[in-house]
Amino acid sequence: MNTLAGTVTGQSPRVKRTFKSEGPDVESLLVAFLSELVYYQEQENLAFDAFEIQLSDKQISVNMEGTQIISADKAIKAVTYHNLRVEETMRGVETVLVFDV
Amino acid sequence: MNIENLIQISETEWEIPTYTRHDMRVPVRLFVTRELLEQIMNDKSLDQAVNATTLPGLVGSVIVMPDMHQGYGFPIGGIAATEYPHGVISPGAIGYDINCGVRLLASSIEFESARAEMDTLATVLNKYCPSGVGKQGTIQVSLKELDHVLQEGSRWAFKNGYATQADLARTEEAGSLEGADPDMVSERAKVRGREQIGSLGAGNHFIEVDVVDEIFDERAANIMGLYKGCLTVQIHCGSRGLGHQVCTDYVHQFQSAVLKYGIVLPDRELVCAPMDSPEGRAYMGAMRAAANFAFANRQLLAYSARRAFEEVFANKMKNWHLHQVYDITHNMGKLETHAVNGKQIKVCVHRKGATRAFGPGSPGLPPEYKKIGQPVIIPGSMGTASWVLVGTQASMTRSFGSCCHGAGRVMSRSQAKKEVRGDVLRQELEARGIKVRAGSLPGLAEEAPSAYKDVDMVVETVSEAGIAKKVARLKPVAVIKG
Repeated sequence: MNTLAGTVTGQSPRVKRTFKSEGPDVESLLVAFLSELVYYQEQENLAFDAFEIQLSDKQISVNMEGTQIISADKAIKAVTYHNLRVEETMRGVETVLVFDV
Repeated sequence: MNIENLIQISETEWEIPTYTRHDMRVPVRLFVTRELLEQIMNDKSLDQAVNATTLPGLVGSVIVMPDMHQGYGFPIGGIAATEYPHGVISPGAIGYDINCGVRLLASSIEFESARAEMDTLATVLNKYCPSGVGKQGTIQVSLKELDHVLQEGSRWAFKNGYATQADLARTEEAGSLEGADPDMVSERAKVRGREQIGSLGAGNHFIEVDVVDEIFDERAANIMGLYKGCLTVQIHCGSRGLGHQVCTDYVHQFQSAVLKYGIVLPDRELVCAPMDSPEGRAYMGAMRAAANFAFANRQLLAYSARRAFEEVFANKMKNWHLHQVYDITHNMGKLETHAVNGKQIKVCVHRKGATRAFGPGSPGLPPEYKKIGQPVIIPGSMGTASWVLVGTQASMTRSFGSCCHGAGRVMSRSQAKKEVRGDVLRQELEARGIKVRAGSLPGLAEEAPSAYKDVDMVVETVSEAGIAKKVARLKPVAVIKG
């Protein structure tokens, strides 16, 4: 997401945030989590690069760390459910997501 | 979807019948020419229109306009009416930018007498009207004050000296939707919105100074105060981060609601809830609050545009004032009464990238517009013409009182950036006498005219179909973009 937005961040100070959400499935938890990142990007000018994620079928809990954004090529305004897909593959878990920009 | 799946009804009207796919509840009715239909078929928007026909409680047909293009879940340029109160409301069929819309202001300033000032005017408009992603607005309000904005919309702006009574009268719903419930808007949405009120944003949002290039209906133009050769201003924006957050919040919540109500849909972005359910009522209250925020936002931008005109023209001419022609929304769900199968019924008309286009005599219009029909403002792509139309009786009976909203994309933003260079485009526009102030050159490239359909062709289609009537064509002379 940071790469897509062309986000450049500073080195310090490091900030920590936590996030918890519930939803009917992993897809909705993923969208809720990424929507949280959109909020921090727009409102607090923060981008995160270190995550500790606890995930079950219907709950997600994240401790994350990041820093202030110095510049970004593009802002992501929202994370959509359009054509959303989360799949287990040989390489791990892959997802198709459409962002509103 | 192939063109063979469609039934041609006339030169400008087509239908996708319900037997096309097993889960369709109603047909799709398209207002397009064959040429535009062929362009539309380059993306997935027709499949999206068919997906939209699966929403529970639909009446009539899902309607699509000639500026249709692919959206998230529901196509842009689409209209769907669900029966009140048991039919559903779908946030995705209204869009993330709730009450994105256009305001048109007009003046009696002759372009020829103001031509030398256009560069200064563009600079001053850019100074007074903040633009760009996440940019702060002209004012900042406390969370408590924001609740008043969400409740009252343009009426809040009037109470605080940013609007005139005439502005309110010439705004859809007088700029203040009944039933807005600020308590149904999350704190997160409020935090996103409170610093952005009075700002333009980015993407396809803009302020444009135009000249009335041609009049097609003298009487209607006179009533609106549009005079050939004179300057006008269009303001295109919506509810900023607040609206996006409201949509995000409710699309997430409705993922569970569809399971609760046993609603099966082909695209999760179409999630919905019955209007008479707690979830449906909550979204309607929040959506109306976000819509009121957008009305107030455009009102503040109009106030800023007037300040800019005053600064540039007040000491040079007597009549420099900007009066409001109309303010329309093109992303909204509205409770309206329409005739379906010969019976008047109350429905929620979802318009996503579609403009309300009420005909003469319709309720809710100011007295002067009851005579001619509601003004419909159709901004073109950057550098091309824009149009002012009026709604007709035919739009009331054939398209739930709706019309197109713009040119409509034919190219994705990323494709446009690959094919067009922002600096070259700016030079081209400047060479054609259009002053450009853009926060971002890649952002400018995304909005290149070649990324859009021909707006004149779109307008000819709705005009020929009879769902709107041409009043005036506007030609751009200055563009301010985020």
